[in-house]
Amino acid sequence: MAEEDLPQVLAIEKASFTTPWGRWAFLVELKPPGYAFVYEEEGRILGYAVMRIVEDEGHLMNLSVAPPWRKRGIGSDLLRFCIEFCLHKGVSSLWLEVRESNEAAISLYQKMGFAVKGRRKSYYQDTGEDALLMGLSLPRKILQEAKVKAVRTMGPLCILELSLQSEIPFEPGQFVMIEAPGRPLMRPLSIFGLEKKMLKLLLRPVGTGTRALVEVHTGQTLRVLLPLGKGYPMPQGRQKAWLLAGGMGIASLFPLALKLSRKGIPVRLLWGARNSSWFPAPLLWQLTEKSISLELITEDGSMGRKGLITEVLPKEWENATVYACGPKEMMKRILSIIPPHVKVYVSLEERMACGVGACQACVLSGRGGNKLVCRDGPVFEREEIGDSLS
Amino acid sequence: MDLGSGHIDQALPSFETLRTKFAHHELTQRAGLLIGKALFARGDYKKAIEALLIGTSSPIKEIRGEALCWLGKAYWRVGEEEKAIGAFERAASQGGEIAALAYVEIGNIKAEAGQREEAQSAYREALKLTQDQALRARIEKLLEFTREEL
Repeated sequence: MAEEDLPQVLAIEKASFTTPWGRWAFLVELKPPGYAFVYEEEGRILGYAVMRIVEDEGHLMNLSVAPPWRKRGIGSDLLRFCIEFCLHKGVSSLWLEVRESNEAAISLYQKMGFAVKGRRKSYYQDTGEDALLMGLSLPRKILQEAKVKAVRTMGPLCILELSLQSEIPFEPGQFVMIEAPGRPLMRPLSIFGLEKKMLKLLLRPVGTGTRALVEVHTGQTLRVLLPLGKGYPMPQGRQKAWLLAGGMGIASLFPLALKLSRKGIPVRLLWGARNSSWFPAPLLWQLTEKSISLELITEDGSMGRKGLITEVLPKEWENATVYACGPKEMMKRILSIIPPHVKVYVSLEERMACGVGACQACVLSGRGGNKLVCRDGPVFEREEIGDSLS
Repeated sequence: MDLGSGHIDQALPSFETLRTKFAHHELTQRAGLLIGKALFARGDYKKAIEALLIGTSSPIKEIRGEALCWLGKAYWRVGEEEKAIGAFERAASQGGEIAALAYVEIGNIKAEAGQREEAQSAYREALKLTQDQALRARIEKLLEFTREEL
C-alpha cells in the first residue's frame, strides 16, 4: 500500500466499519514495523490488509474487502499473502482480534488455521462488544536466499540449479516453495536434487510462475523455503521398488530412484510422457544406474513403448512397494489397478499457497478426516487418501 | 590441497599464486583440475571453466582427459553446446575409459538436440572404448532408448 492508495482504501474502510480508521492511522502503518498490502485489479483497489511485525510476532491489524467484491476469495487471498509474508519474515505466531459477532470473519480465520486463544473484554468502544483473540502458530522452516547457478532447458523441461546459503538434508518427495520473480505467491516444486548446497528443481514452463522461473539469470537471488512436506518412506524388508512417473511426476521420483539404487534396492521405473522430448538424455543417463530398470512409455510411440503408463502396468506385484507421482487421472487409475494388499505411496500435486499447512489451501478430504497436502503429504499411503482422488 | 566442503575458498588463493607464478607447471595443471571440479560441484561453472582450461594443458593424459571431460560438462551447464562438444571430442581423443564417457556425453547432447543417428553413433563409439560391463550396460540402455524411429 502506498500513500496514493489511501483515498480508495479509506472509502472501503468507511463502507466496512462503524468506527473506521482515519488517514493518519493508515499512514503510520506504511513503514516498519507496519506492513500494508492492497488487493488490486486493473488499478482498482478491492481490498487491503494491514499488519505489524515485532521480533517474531505478527499482528493482523486490519483486513477488509470492498462490499461489492466480498465472497469472491479476495479476503482469503489477502490473508494467505499475509501468512506467507510472515513466514518470509521468520514470524513464529500471527495474532488478530475479531468481533465476536463477525461470524464470516471468524470462519475465514478458522479455515486458515487460526484458533481462538483468548477474549478481550469490551474491546470495541462503539458497541462494548468483546473481541476474540485468535492466533496462528507458524512452523519455522528455513528460508534461504538462493543464487541461480544455471538454467538448462531440455525440450519441454528445464532444470534450475540454485546454490543455497547452507547445507540442508532432504528426503525424496519433499518440496520447496520458491519465489517466482514478479509473482506475488511462491510456487511449490518438488526437490529434484539437493547435494550439499546445490538445489536442483525440474520444471515445465507452462504457467506464469514457472515461465518467470525459467527466465531468471545466473547470479539472480531467489527466496526458497525448504525442505517442506513428508518424503517417501523406504521399502520394508527385501521389497523391490516400483516407481511410476507420469510426465512431471519424475521430478519427485528421480531423487527417490537414485537413493534406492544407491542403497542397492532394485528399482523398476516406468516413466510415461506425451512424446520423446520429455526424456532428456542427460536424465536418462543418470537413470541407467545399475539397479534401476528404466522403461519409457510415450503416448505417440516416439520413444519406448507406445501407450499410457496405466496400460503397461505389470500383473505381478508380489514383494513390491509402489511409488507413484503424476496427473490425477493416472493416479486414480493406478490405485484402482494395483491390488489392495500392495503398499502404494502416492505424491499428490495440489495448488499450495503457503506450503507449511498454515493457509489450508490444499485440503484433501480422506479417511480419518481432512489432511493438508503440503503438511501431511505430499506423499501419502494409499489408505490415507481413501477415495479423495475421485 | 583439501577441497572438501567449505575448503575451496581457502584453496583458491593458493591456486591463484600457483597460476601466477608457475602457470605452466604440471602441479598447477593438476590443481586446475581439482579446483575446477570443486567449483563445478558448487555450481560456479564459469570459474570452473577457467580452472579446468588450465588442467587441459597437462602433459599427463589422464589429467588432461579428465579436465576436458569436466570442461565439457561445465560448458554444457552454461549453455555452450558447441564448446562442450569440442571439449568432449578432445577428451575422447585421449583414449581409455574417459574417452568412453566423453562419447556418452556427446551422444547425450546429440540426442537432446533430436539427432538420434549422431547420438547412436557416439554411443557405439563409447561401447568400443570400454570393457567395464556396468558402463557397457548403461550405454546399451541409451542405445536402446534412442534406437526407435531411426
